[in-house]
Amino acid sequence: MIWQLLVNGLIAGSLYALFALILFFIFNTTRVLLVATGAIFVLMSHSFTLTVYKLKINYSAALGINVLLGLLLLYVSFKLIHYPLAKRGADAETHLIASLGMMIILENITYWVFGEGTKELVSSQVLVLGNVYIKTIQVVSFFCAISIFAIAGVILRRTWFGKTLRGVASNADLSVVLGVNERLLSFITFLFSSIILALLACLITLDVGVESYSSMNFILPSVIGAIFGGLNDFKGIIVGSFIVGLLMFLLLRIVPHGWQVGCTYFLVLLILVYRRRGIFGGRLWQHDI
Amino acid sequence: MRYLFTVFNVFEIYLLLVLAANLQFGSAGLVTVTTFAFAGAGAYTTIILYQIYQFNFLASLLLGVIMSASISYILSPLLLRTRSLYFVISGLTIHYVLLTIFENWISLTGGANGIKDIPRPLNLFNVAAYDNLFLSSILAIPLFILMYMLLRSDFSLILRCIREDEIGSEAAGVNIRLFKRLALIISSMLAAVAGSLLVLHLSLINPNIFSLHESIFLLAGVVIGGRGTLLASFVGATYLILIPEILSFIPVDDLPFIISPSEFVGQGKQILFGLTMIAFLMMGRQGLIPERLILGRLYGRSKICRSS
Repeated sequence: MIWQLLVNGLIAGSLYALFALILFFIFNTTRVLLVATGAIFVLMSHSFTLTVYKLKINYSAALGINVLLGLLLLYVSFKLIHYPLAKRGADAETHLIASLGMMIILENITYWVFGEGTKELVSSQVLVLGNVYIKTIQVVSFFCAISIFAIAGVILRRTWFGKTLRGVASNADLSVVLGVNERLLSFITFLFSSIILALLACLITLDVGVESYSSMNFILPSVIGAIFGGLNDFKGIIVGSFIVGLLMFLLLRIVPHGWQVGCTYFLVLLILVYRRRGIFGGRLWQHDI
Repeated sequence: MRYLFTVFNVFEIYLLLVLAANLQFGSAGLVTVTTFAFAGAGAYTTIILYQIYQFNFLASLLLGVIMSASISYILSPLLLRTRSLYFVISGLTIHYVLLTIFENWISLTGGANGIKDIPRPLNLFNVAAYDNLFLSSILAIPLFILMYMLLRSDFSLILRCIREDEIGSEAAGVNIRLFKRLALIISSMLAAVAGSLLVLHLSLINPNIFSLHESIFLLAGVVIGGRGTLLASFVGATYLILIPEILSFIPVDDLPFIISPSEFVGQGKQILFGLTMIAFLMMGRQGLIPERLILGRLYGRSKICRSS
């Protein structure tokens, strides 16, 4: 039983960590905690179902269409909402409220257009390893996630984009003065984020399906995991998300089913209250105390 | 006539809720999404004592308010140790923790099904709409008067100072934590009364009534109506009530993509609330009733009134 819970926790943690990675990229480039990412993911999930199940397009093409859709939605939301807010000097909470508004709009448009939820598209094979049952799609999800983390780590340390992102995260004003091309940086961030979102939409839809109003179920654990680990630290967001995923399942050994989500959030909140920047995090803003 | 009375009843309830949100967000600058969660805590306590343990309704309501205030009193030190984004996320977390309790303590709350067929505590007119409006008015109108006085008092002025310049306020000797904590507690008490009246109006209580989306709509009410005054809360609550009523009169049978009229109203109002909230944030407007208009008359034309 404990091994099953551990495996489930690791798989859930890997998916939350992927969402957290998107939030990390976007936050450190734009200083916006884009909770609407959850709603964008749900919309992409439905569009993936539409393209594969109804239009009978193959998976690769469906992924490509989804990447473009994600890129469009991210670009439009920033162009129309967050960049104008940033020009007016809006603070982080204002951006977050706007993002929550965007999340509500997208969820309801998704429901209007696509209905309630996606179906699990394929019946996945189940592997049995001793007492542990695991679907093949879950194994694929886990190893995809690990690969993406490895690639992201290399990108952040070795490439121009990664170094520039870390520079902007450290001091955005100085980066602009030093001639960093913010638009190009944002575009590449959105491109990476939409690729990861498209992959998540594909994997989670194939595994369990997605409901139209379930965006908070995916994004909130990721946000909490990212903040718990440290929103401006790459390894922090991954470790934090894995801890949240593991807690959600391991707590089932102690608490009845249904209570584990609330208990996880409360435990993490208690730790966060006393370690305000997360386990690995540093100051988010120059004025942060 | 019954329809109008029902609308007035819901309006009074939402005015209380928007006032609660306005005290936290509008006056104190605390972006919380916990208003409906505290409304739920108060409402569940009231209804459990009233329906299951057969307490007198007013006694149940008082205990519900005390329960909500106690939860706020216990959780506010945790919340106030965080700032900015972390504060909002902590608020979200608390909301989900309370929802978990509502959904999973099945023996007490009825779980996801909740408690149905809640009897009316008053039966003066033999019509639910009239009785509910009468009860809401008796409870809510004194609270509106109290809140009107509070929002024009020095307490509210101090909250505004904290909102505008926390460091300066602390340097001037203001106990920041105490005032913020009081704002959260008073807000939770108002929300508890509103939540109890709401479930009486619906004759049922379940966790779906106190979802996160409803708390976000209250924020929208504050953003659209304006911050920190009773008139602004009045306008915000009017907007929150008016939009679904207008949408319900639109003939939708021939429109594409529409599943049913009730879903059109449900989804349509959420989209409109989201759009208007974003529009007001982007325009930089301080709502339809800017605070400086009211404060200008209250305090005279001084620098205090020129809010950013």
